[in-house]
Amino acid sequence: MEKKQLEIIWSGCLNGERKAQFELYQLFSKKMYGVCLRYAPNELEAKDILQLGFIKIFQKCTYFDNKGSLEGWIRKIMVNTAIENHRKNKIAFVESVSEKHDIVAGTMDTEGAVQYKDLLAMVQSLPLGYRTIFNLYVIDGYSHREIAEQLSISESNSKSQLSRARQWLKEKLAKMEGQTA
Amino acid sequence: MNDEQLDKLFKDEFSKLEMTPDEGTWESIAADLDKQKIIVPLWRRNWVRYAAVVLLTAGVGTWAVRYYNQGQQPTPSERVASVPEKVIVQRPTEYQLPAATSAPLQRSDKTDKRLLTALPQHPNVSQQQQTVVAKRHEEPVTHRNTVYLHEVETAALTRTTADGFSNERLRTHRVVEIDPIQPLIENPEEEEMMLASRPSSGAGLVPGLLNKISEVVNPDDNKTIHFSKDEEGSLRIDIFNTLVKNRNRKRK
Repeated sequence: MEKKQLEIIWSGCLNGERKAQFELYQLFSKKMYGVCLRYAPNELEAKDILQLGFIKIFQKCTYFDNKGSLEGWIRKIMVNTAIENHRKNKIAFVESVSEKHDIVAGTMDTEGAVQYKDLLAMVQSLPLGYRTIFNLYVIDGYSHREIAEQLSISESNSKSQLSRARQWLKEKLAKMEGQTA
Repeated sequence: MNDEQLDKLFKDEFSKLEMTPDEGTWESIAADLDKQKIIVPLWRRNWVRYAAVVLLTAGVGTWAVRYYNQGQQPTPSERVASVPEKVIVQRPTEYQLPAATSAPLQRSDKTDKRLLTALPQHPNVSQQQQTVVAKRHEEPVTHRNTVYLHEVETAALTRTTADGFSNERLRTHRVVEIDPIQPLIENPEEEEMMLASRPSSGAGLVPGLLNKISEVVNPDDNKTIHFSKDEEGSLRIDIFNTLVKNRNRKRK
């Protein structure tokens, strides 16, 4: 993706042109959908987060100050949308404690598809708080302080939830390895 | 497996994770965008820019034309002064001001160009003329009925034939109503006395605020500077200087 081409697309988005917005969507939707899938408990919710995230991107496109990468900015908005979704679910007590998880559908674009699929299923099976904090800390590089701020919890709470998430995942992995072994 | 290995495993897998969403996803996004009517900053849109330029030009042009026209119109006093010939001013309601001069034109002789004199035997002279006093009036009212036009717009000018007049020498001009002249100061002698006793409650917001500030700044000054509102509404600063006999007054 040439920088100039991206600039053209972005300036079209700034003017609210639907065509440019679609092109931007095509550029980034795959990666962003991957982000949403980790934060959501299932595919349906992942799609919701994705849609909301892109609408926010198009609404706030003028706030991008052209410093830093556009992808990083878009990703940040997507993660923020996921956090908002977390807050909403937390209040609504939508969190399901069951270990059932949806089979992840959609085209596999990455190598090692099987492993990825399983890992994703594992993460999706995590309870809401564990899942969000695990994603924020391990994958997206947030600090405990930042997590505490975003989720309105204490830092120690964030740390303990993370360690519980790790524990959960280790058990799942062991189970899976136990099955395959 | 320790924590570090676990983290690494998931991070490696997820950081490059790409999944294609359903086909209908974009349609939903587009539909929501249409619904929400994203407000693109108006200044970015081309037609808005052009419209803004047009409006601005029109606005400035209108203002400029008005301002120019206003300056172009001759003021009533100038109009009156510019009348070289006899002018008869007839005010239908309150009083009538016949202006009559036989040659030479008396107005040009006087420094006060607003002086119009009327012949005493003119039938339209009314007694009210004597009560009209302009601000600059200094001469006592003589047996001649003198009327001063002070900064007013003239009344309807009509032509009347009178002694020594000829129609060709009369000209009609634009005229307007003359309002009864109200003296600006009701009673000049009383004004000074009234100053001290005037209540500050009618002073208004700005003078009140300024008074408060001056109090704060100089609490022990005992009202050396006092703000109030004029009769006309302009800000008035009274400076009481105890060293000076007369009170100084400043008008803003």
